[in-house]
Amino acid sequence: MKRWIVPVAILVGLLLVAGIWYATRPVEEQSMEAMETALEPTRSEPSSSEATPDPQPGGQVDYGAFRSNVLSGGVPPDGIPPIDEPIWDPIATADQWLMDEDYVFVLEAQEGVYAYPQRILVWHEIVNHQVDGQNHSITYCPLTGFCVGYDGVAQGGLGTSGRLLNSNLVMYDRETGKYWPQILGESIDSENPGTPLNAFPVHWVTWKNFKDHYEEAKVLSTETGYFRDYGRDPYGSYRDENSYYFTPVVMFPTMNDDPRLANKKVVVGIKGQNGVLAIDPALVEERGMINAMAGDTPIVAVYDQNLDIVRVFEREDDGEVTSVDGLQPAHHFDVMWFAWSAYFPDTELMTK
Amino acid sequence: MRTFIKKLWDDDNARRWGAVAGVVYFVVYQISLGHLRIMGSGGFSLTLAKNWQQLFFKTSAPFLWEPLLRWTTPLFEWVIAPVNIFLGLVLGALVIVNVGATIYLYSLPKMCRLDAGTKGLWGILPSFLTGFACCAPTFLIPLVSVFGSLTIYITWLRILLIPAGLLLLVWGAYYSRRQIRAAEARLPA
Repeated sequence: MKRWIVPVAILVGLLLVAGIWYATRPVEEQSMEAMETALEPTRSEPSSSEATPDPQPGGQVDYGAFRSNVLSGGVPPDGIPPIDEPIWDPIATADQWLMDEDYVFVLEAQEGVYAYPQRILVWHEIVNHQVDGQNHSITYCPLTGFCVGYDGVAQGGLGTSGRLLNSNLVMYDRETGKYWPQILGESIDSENPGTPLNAFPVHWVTWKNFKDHYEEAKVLSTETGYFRDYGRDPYGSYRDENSYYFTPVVMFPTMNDDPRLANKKVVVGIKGQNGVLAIDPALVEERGMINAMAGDTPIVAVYDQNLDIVRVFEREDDGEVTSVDGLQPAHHFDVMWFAWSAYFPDTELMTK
Repeated sequence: MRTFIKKLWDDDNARRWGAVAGVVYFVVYQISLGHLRIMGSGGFSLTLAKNWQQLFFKTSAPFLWEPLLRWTTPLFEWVIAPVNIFLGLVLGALVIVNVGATIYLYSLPKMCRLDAGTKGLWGILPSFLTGFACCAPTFLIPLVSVFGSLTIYITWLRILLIPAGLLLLVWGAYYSRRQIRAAEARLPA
């Protein structure tokens, strides 16, 4: 046999495998491409203006640009498996394996307080369950440090699409197959782009502050239905300044780069009508309370020293406030700067 | 092919070192997937996932299946994904043949050797890179500051790793067989 036949056979074999893979990809991936090719060149507006933030102040959002920047993260839909049947532990049980410095994501619902350990969500990214009689999805993207809850989602809950936009989790609606970039919180499908999910804030709290503050809570159990090493964070650690969470390098390409802050600097992102605002949490901590505008929406940010978090509320138009009693929470979230500014390049910024 | 395998099996050194390499390969493959952890969490336990039927063929990434059984001992914790076990055994068997053939070739008189036949052993490497966590290959996450945004391209290439490893190992076995035949033909009668 000629010597050149072997490497050629290997090459052909590799191409064959690549071809088979390409042809047998999940339907969702192919439909995304079909969506991209059907993309209209003109800009489209959100179909609903109800509480819909405008990602790019100026009135119009280029959903086509979002669609064309979606990338495969290398995993199939729900390859990062959401938790659909969560089991809850009391604080004392969770305290046996969580360390004081670990983070939990805290949801303060009417029916009680829920805590979702970051060490579990880093492996699952989504928890689907019912809260206050409604379908909720708690979603977390490790690459962007963004955690947010959505309520009123479809019965099947949200899934992980295996795709990324601006290095950020792209979720999909398991009933309709629609794609929802997590930070955007709006559908980017060509059909009815801009349809919003109803978001609510979920706070990053250290386990020590959490257990000191709350007497009772439901803490997500490690009995998730999957075998994962919940003692290990694949991206490193929030206690290690050399890990992914602190180094300036971003893993996947983003649509915009903004040098105003370091890439991984955590800001409080606030979505208002016709505009967005990012505030350095250290500024809020220093001042205690800040009255500001997120687009056309008047907001007030306050530092909660019990939990060491920033809470943001919407206020009336008639001037600044000194108390947040009776105010409704604004759309606000902790997020790494690079991801926030990649989605919202025109964001206003308040820093120390 | 049967004669070739029998020849390796009958040679003590080829059998012994081939088996050692195959077992080491299998263990390292399981560790690279994140399925085997040395230093387990304590006592002995065996846990089967409640939804194991749904997990059997569920992939979490290309060539990476969901574990459905967890075996914990004081020394290690092993989560078992049957399809990955099967794949590891196939790859391990090919490693045994490749290493065994290399040892066998070295055992022949020097004048008869054409080539040590180690080329196929390159096929061992790609399968060690198939572990996947969240949105990136596990081997890449600590190296993210080196690769940066190139991660996306490496992630795409990853789909080819196991097929490439298999092809290289099969080619290596075939190549070694030819070398052994040719070398033995040179042996004095």
